[in-house]
Amino acid sequence: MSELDLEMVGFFLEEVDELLIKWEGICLCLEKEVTVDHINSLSRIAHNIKGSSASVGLMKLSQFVHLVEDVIVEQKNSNKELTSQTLRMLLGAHSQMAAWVDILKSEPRSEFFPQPFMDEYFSGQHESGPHKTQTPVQSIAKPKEEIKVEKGNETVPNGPVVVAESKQTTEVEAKKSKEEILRISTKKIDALINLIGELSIQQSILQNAIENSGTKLQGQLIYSSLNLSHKITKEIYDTAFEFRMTPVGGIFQRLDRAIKDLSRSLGKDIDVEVSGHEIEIEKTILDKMLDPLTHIVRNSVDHGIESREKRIESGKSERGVISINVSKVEEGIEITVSDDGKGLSEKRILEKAIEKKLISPTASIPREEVYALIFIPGFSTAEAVTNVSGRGVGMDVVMRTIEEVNGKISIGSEEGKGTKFRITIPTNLSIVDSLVVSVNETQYVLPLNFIEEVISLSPSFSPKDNKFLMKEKVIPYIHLSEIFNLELTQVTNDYPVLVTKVNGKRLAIGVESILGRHQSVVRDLNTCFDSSFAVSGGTILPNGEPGLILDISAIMQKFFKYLKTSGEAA
Amino acid sequence: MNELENERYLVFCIDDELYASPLLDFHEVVEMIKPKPVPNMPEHFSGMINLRGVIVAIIDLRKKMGIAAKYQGKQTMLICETENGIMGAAIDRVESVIHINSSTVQDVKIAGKIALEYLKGFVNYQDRIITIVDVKSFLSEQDKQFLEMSA
Repeated sequence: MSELDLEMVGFFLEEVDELLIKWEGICLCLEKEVTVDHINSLSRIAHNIKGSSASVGLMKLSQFVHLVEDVIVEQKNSNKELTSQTLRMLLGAHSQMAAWVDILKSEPRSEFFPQPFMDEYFSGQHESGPHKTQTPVQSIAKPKEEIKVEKGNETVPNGPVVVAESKQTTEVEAKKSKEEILRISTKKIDALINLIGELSIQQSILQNAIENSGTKLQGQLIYSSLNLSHKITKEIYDTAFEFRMTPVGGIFQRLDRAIKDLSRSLGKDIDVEVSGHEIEIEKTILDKMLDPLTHIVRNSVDHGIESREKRIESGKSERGVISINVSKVEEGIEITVSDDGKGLSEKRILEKAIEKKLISPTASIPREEVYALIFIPGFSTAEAVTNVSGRGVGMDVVMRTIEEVNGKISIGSEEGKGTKFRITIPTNLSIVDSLVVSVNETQYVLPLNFIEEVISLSPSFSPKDNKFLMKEKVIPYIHLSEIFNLELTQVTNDYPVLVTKVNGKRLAIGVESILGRHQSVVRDLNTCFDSSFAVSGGTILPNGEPGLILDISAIMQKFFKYLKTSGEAA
Repeated sequence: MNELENERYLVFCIDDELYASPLLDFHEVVEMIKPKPVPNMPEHFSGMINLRGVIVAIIDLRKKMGIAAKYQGKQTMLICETENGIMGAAIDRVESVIHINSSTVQDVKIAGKIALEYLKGFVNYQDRIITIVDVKSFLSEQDKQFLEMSA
């Protein structure tokens, strides 16, 4: 066996990720319609993976793909109908390769054992193979392999930048664009974005300095030139920023697959409708959204969509529909996942919540907030935890993940008609619309999307014992200086208070003054800042100073723990 | 990794004592900018600065080592990339860059201001004692202590 070149394996793994996504996409297309193009693409991908895995020394993977490729080539040459058995095998092979690639990412020398069902398929195939199709299939494949191995070598890059020619893309992709694709690590892009950000800050400082210097004549020329360079910088920034964006379509395919896999095993017929493929979002956010969205669609398949019999009984069409739509909204993008299943039962949710002591039996909860109860940790309406949606993560994790990316989730449902999850997330995590406040001569940044209202406290309207009354509601209150154990530099009776709302809970936070709105570019913070519990990130303030972005939900947690109350203010 | 051969060292001064760390451990040396305070942090954590768009945590080595805060003029910051990200160490001043041969390092363990773990030995340089210290690890290890403190 050839030596593993770890660096090369790294490049291979990057490449194979993309190929596997295409593979899965084609399989899902094949489910709907079998075309020669699709089979050809698939065979090319298999070939590619086989060749490049061999060239980096992953012989076992290469041999595995070789077997799968044989089946594809056979299919290609036989002009026969693609059986569902073969299609399942192709999807199965994808899962195995994806799992294998995941293992390789952490441990490049680990072993790969294809699951038995693959062997079964192959052994069955080899028995029927020789007499049903011509044997040359194998002999055709072999010389090709050698050529491909060389080609594989060429495509494995020497540096971190890979130029993938459009030749390599499948037809599915090729239709979309013939552009050359450059693969650049996000680190490099981030470094560029940082530099541009810094440049624009320096420009602002310069601008301020010129404005304050008062030399008018000279000022005009410098000023207009500076203005122009500002604009250019902004444009460069936006362009660089777009490098990080990726169409949401990539995730649809995986959701589609999750729905198909699960519905097949549950014996439900479900159509999947999607829209908004082309809408772009920052890749890191999209990656994070995969798990919660998968959980939601699996829930819809498992608990939402009724069995075929029940659907006919209630006068619905036999086939269930799950639609995933993405659209642009002011806050970023909105993803809705809706099904035409049985909907949520308010009664059952309330019963469950009372049973689990999540709410008091006498509480009157508005309809919209009833649904929100399912996001509370420890809540699950499924009578028995099925191994399908009851697996490990619950809706509370879904909520938490969405909040991690500064998003929001809400549920709409009508019993008997279906359920709709509406998720709003920002298109990027790197820029947060925020409010800059100051306490004790230090500026802090609060994300605007958690701020519900800004009010001014006056002596007649002042908080006592960490609470005050607003619109007949008791609002818990704390001053930012208390959170941080700071001394107030100016004690006045009249100061602004920000009413924040996270996860249905409100907390009013008092500050010394509000300095204004800011598009804060989020910078990573050193891990040593972790002990400053209430901070979610850093940013460079308009004056060029570093500032801290406050983590409102962490402040709330700390606050409510401190008061030992359950936050009845919701 | 910890082999001290004929390597270049950055010699710096805190409270008239000389210390040295491998030169290549440092990104750069910058003039002291007043760090912005960060709440809920230990005392030797001076705050943060904006270093060309990167937020850098600053540790006051003087305070960390328990030396009285008698600052002599403007301090200097040594910027280095630790396992926890880029951090800065505030020191009194940089003295020089010298070559130190590992054979001249006297491996005497003296429990002093620096935990033995980061103390790499002593060098006699022009009749002065230079303490060889692993500043890079010293900075990131502190961070673990903070976390324990807050936990």
